[in-house]
Amino acid sequence: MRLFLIVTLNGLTLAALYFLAASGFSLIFGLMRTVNMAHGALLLLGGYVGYDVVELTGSWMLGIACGGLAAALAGAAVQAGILGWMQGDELRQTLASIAISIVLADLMLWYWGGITYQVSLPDILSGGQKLPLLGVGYANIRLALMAFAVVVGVMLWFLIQRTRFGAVIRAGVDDQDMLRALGFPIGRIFIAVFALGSALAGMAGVIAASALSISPGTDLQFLLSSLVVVIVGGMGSIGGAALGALLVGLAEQYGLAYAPTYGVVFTFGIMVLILAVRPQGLMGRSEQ
Amino acid sequence: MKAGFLALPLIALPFVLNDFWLTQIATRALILGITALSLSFLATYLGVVSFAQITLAGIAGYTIAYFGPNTVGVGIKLPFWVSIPAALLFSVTAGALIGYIARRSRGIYAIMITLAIGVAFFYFTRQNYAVFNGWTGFSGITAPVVAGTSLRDPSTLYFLSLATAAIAVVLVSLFARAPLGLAIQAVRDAPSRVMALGIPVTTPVVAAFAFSGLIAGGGGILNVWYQERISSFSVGLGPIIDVLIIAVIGGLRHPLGAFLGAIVFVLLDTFAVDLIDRDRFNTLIGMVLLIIVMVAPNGLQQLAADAVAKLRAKEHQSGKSARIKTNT
Amino acid sequence: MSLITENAVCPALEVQGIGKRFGGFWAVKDIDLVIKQGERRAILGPNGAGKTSLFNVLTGDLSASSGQVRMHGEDISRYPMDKRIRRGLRRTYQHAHLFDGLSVRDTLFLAVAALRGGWRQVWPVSQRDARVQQAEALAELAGLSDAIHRGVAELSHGQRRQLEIGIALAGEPRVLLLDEPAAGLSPAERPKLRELLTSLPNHITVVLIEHDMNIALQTSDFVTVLYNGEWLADGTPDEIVLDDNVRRVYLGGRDGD
Ligand SMILES: Nc1ncnc2c1ncn2[C@@H]1O[C@H](COP(=O)(O)OP(=O)(O)OP(=O)(O)O)[C@@H](O)[C@H]1O
Ligand SMILES: [Mg+2]
Repeated sequence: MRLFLIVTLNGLTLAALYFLAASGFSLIFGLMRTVNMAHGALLLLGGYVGYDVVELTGSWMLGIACGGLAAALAGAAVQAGILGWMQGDELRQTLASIAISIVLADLMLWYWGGITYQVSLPDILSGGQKLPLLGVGYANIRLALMAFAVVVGVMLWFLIQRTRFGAVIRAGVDDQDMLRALGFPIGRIFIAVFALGSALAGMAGVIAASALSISPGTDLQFLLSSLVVVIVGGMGSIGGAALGALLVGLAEQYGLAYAPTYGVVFTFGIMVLILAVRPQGLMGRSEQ
Repeated sequence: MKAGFLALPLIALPFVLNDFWLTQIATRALILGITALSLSFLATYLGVVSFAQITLAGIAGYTIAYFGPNTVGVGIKLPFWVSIPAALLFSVTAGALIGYIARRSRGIYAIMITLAIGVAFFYFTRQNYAVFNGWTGFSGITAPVVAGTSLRDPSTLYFLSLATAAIAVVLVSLFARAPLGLAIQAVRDAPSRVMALGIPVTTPVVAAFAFSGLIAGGGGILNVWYQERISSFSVGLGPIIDVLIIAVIGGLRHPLGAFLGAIVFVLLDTFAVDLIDRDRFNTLIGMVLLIIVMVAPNGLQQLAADAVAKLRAKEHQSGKSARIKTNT
Repeated sequence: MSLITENAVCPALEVQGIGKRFGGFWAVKDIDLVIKQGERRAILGPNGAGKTSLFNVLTGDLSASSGQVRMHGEDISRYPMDKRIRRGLRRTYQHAHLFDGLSVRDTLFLAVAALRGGWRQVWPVSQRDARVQQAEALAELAGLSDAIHRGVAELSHGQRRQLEIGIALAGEPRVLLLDEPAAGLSPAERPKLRELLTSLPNHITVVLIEHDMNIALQTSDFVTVLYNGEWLADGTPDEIVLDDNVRRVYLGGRDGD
């Protein structure tokens, strides 16, 4: 029972991290049909920058902000400089973003080296907490991570459902040509959304570097998990990303705890199964 | 005629090149090209970019390793005339299975599902020791010896790869013109219309993936003889991306692009040391890929075809003007 | 023998209470039709009347929300599309989705092979193959002999319409549903299409959706008018042009046509 509780909590922690990474990926896809294969690289970039800032200033919050900002700038540059020029040609964008991710990963390896980084935590986040009712101890940073994911989820929901910017995004998801015909600066909107999605990735990178650790390879790990999460949950839906992240995070931890040999395969198995019977994902809309 | 122009120099290569160029460049490019051909076949005729071709090649390679001589003490030894057909059978079956799973996915969805299948297979080989021997995999694999010569012998392996590549290209062009090949292209253009003809869409999709499994399997068998080992790293994300890069650089619109892409890739891989820091190969290849995608999305094959067409047009023109001159 | 007598008695198409609902909206509502064998029937109606939706339900492209369809006496309501096609039901589409990467001949060959079998063959067919010959005959019938080796992507709009009809004529069509075959054709191409329609063999029943009144009234012997998904009027072309309801909702609304 204790093991089960801990495993469940670990699963929720992982789900929170996956959600943070996948929500930006899904946001970008939802509006512009771009599968940004450089999403993992942007996440890692945010993590590295966040680490450097925390080391330099000692402020964890500033690290998160700078990590998000660095990724946002890089993401905006990628959309404005490269992907925006091939808007509408999804395959070409996918291939271009693969190229970008290869180059980015290699340049980061060159600058930050092959070592593992872990962001040092502020006092309130280090240490643990004896959880009431459940009776198990759990690390503060992980609890904060879950809270952070919930906050980000709610804020995203608010942004998309309740603001003018969100209304424009929603209209764009349904009909880009209409937005363009109405005279919205669709190119700039795309860049803004790309920056927002990348900022989410960058912050997720710093948080991953705090709760776990980051190193070369973290980019691919989170790119793949984001892919699986949005495939399972449904591309382009924030709710789908949350559901997908929960399923994948929990499945991975239960798999690791109870069937250690094939844990990861198990996760991919779920995905293949869902794709085979419901290609648009659990909460995705059908393409036709 | 045209084929002869191409075939003669290719057949002459072993008599001109030293072992390094023959094995490290020519043979390696042919083997990579065959595997990439299985990808560009799917891209050209089914319109699906598959990230699972290395998986299919790997399945054939692992079969050869498991049923052949190796130094890790895993597997059952079978004669090569049994293990080779078995390897192809497995890669074709796996291809059909992947096609069935991805039967309703197009475009980016197909990319994601095949990528996920490829990565799942990679993790599976790392975890499974009974068949795949975990992440260390198989080493000490030796190619069969036929009539006293090892198939791993540099010029023998080269000719074998050349022959396999030629057969693969011929098979692709025959299959593309066959009724089932036409049905595959029809699915690429308008799946719902194919159903309206009374043809179920699943069959052409599964057939296309199965056929790509045959080609990839051929590449996989040659590769395991060439490398003399296979492990989880041989089916990981690195090789998956490499083969994609090769196919894209060569051009996804024409099956022959795969070999063009493979030569460029192998040359870059081998001589990048002289251009830039060896460790920055990924930056170099990433930039090459990015530039190709940006300026020549149909790849080098298309660039070459355009250049040839232009040259022909010029020749034609100068020929004409020459004739006019003699007339006057 | 018994088949022929049965066919002589049974109408080619017998539609009873057919309806199609999209969400809460009935695009086609409770339609009855009896179309005799060999008949040339035109279906008229303003945009959005439900003509295409009716075809979609008849062919099985969409499932019916209510009602039954009988073809030559056989209840085909529950048959999947390919089984209806095998029974001789064919259609063309209002918006042609053709195989842009294939040639005209390969497209027609595939249509023939889909019905005659052998589309699963994995090696190329010879030029003398009976199915290739049939594809070439179809091209001739559809007036595409000159364009037979052209890629579908290179065809003009009119030629694409002709190819649609060629595909529909593959195998042994018995009932042919044509969805606005003249739409988008140039004035020069229209007479050619009319000729093609009038030259169709008599044993084929033709149901034609058409906005071009001239083509519709000249090539049909009976007309059904739909309006807002419902039946509005029936009659010979002469009766229809004089019908008050029809004049009001259709001809009146588009004066000049
Ligand atoms: N798949 C669908 N989902 C929802 N509504 C549909 C669908 N197809 C058609 N409709 C609606 O049903 C009604 C009838 O459409 P239909 O295409 O059958 O009309 P039509 O008579 O063929 O018109 P037109 O002359 O423009 O071709 C229209 O209001 C249309 O918007
Ligand atoms: Mg219509």
